[in-house]
Amino acid sequence: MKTTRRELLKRGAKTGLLLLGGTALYEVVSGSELLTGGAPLRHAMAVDLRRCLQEEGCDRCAAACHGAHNVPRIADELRAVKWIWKDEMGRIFPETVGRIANAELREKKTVVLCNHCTNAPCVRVCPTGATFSREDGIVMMDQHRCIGCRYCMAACPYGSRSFNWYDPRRFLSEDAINPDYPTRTRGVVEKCDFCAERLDTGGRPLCVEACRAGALIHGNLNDPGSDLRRALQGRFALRRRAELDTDPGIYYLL
Amino acid sequence: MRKSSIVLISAALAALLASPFIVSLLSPPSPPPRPELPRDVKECVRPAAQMRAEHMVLLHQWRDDVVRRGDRREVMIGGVSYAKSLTGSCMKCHRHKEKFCDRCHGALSSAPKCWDCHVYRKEVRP
Amino acid sequence: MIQKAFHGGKLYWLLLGALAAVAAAGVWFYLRQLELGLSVTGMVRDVSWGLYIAQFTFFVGVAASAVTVVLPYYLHDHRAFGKITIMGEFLAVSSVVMCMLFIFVDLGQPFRVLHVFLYPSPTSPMFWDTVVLFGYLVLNLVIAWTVLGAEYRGTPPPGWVRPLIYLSIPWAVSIHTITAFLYAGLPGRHLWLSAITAARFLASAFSSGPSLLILLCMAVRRFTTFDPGKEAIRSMGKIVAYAFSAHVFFILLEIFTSFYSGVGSHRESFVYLFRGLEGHAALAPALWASAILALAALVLIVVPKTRNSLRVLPLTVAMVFVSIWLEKGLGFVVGGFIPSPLGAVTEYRPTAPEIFITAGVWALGFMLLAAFFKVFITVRREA
Ligand code: HEC
Ligand code: HEC
Ligand code: HEC
Repeated sequence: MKTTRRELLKRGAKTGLLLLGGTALYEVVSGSELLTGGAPLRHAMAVDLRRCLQEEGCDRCAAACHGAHNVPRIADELRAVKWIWKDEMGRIFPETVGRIANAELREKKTVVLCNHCTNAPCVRVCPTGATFSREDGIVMMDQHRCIGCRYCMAACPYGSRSFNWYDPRRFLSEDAINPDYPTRTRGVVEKCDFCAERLDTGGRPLCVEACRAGALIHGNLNDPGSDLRRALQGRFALRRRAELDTDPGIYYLL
Repeated sequence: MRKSSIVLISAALAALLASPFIVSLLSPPSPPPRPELPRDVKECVRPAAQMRAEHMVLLHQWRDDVVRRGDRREVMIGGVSYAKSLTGSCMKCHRHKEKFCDRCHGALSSAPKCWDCHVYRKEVRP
Repeated sequence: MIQKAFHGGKLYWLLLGALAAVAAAGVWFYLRQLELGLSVTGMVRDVSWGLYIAQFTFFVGVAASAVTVVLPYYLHDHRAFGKITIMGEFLAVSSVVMCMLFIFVDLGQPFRVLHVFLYPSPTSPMFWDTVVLFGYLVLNLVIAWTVLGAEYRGTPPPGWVRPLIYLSIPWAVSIHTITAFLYAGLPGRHLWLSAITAARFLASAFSSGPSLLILLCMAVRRFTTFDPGKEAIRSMGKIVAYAFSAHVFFILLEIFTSFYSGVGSHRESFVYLFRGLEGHAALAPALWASAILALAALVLIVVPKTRNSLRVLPLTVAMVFVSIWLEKGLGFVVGGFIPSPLGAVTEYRPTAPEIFITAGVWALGFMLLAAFFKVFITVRREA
């Protein structure tokens, strides 16, 4: 991968500062991102459980996402491909919700998707760099590079990755295909890419747009003025398996 | 194994390996492929000669810009803005994959796997 | 020297023919897998690695175990192993080839395999594993071929192989350590996430590898004119005794920590493997068989009388081999995926195509091994 000149300058400047002023200065400077101006972008999302749990049986977010991204509809649940889907609270948070007696809450469903971890195990293990972390926090997949070794699936502690056991086009009807987004082919791994194609052109993730309950809030985690930060303000939030220190970018608001 | 049989086997192997070259030398030269060029536009992304030789390099560069660098800035061709996209730009001008890309690739028996994922559909054509 | 592999008796050709038939069946099923995708296997979303990667893991161990004959011979001048070090090295070569084939047949996009080298990723243990496996293959092939070639010509081996031999010793340890790192660094997979994984892998490698080598030596003794010598076989028995005790000990350590700590997530995979979860216990019979074989073999291999008996030893090491194959080549890899991150218990059952492809890789590996042994034995007889 080629480094752009700006990145190179930034890196050079950081190294220079590191040599001159030691780490303390370095952290202050990179923290406020003198060089780019303003807070560095970190895409993240909150799931407002109060709103989402109300909407039983709703799957507009998943339908919108899977439709636009040509995710095959495979009946065999064991070999299904999923980018975003609903699962039980007790299974999403086994250590907390899973242990409480309130069966009603345990069985309620909410959305799960790729957590876009800052410290993503899938990125670390990928032998070809097909999965990589973007500077803005998106854990991205380069479908052109994936060799289908499925190491990332073993590494992901959230079960957010799917492999194409079949040729996905067999499960997409010709007229349901969105021609503006590629399908995948058999033998590659795939997952939610936070709608990079929309975020890069100033849009919002499709799931966020599709949610009628306003339960999904996307924004820049580092910008105190963003919708996301305002939503997180003053409320208690859970992240999945936070003890693993992957630093997930998806917050579940209680 | 006896000497003679070794010689025989080696000769047979050599003949087998050389056969494609011999066949192509003996058969008449095939006509150069004639891809159908777009009529409504004049320019390609780059000069035609360069495109003929290096379109795969450009495609790979666009691919890496978009997927790996998140750089989706559009490109201007003849005053019109095009996305850095295989289906969203190349195929907007070169509408008939069969009469364009495939004519060359077919003649070269080179089959890029792009279409396993990138969607080419006849009804996409306006 | 290679021409020696093309001269052989009826038995040799019969063996190669039978293996070739199995390999051909494997190739046929692999072509189907290429066409239909990995859906022809029993692997699923939650258990995304199965027989192939398990076999890969197991055979990295067999490959690494060449060090158990190389080290005593070259560092401790253990003369008895003089006759079999080359056999050990050839076994390593064949095993590494099998490992590579297992990785290859497991890939969803095999035609893109070169991406591993085109886009090297130093944070990935899989990248490093590929690198060290290639290096190990080359090292062992060069060493064994050169030493045997010198013998063939009746000259002492050239001086430059010595340093290579010394290098091959830590290298053998490295291949299995990095294979263990493949697993031991993954957050949230508690069966694997253990600092002792690499040590466990080495202990099981140094028991299963020499076990296989003992069986091969017995076969060579029985069916060819070459005798590796009773002393060499007994020495290897001793190595298996130590390594296998360590192997069993390490498993008990894992079980202690998992159960005594009381941390549920650390325990679940073990519970699944031995008793089953939510009524799913497909692997339990295999794991119990492994445990029972292990205990019986442990007694037979530790007691000097049974260990030194060339009648009992083959049986014992066969038990060791099967026990470890079940535990490491099946239980460890598959068990790590169960339960899934979302708590689902999904079982894994290899399908017929998957089993045929696996058998095909075995057959190819053993064809290579048979050819190597043929060359070796012929050279030894003539030298
Ligand atoms: C704006 C419309 C347009 C776009 C977009 C476009 N092309 Fe072209 N392309 C043309 C035209 C017009 C020609 C003929 C130019 C000439 O003959 O001077 C051409 C020529 C070519 C040729 C040479 C054919 C030959 O035999 O002379 C190739 C190859 C080619 N294009 C490939 C591509 C690829 C690949 C892309 C996408 C990266 C692309 N084109 C995008 C309009 C376009
Ligand atoms: C003028 C003839 C010609 C035309 C028209 C043409 N190509 Fe090519 N293409 C070639 C040649 C020659 C190669 C190199 C063949 C090889 O290396 O096997 C090639 C190679 C490629 C490759 C790289 C091969 C690979 O497997 O990665 C891609 C991608 C590609 N072409 C895409 C296209 C697309 C898309 C179009 C239609 C928009 C197109 N080409 C039209 C001649 C052509
Ligand atoms: C395994 C599926 C797959 C294959 C095979 C594949 N692509 Fe892609 N390609 C994708 C996906 C997914 C994207 C990302 C689209 C996005 O984010 O907008 C993409 C994006 C691209 C882009 C930029 C955006 C766009 O819409 O075109 C280019 C250019 C591209 N690919 C070229 C190629 C070429 C050339 C080939 C063949 C050599 C190829 N791709 C093969 C899946 C694939």
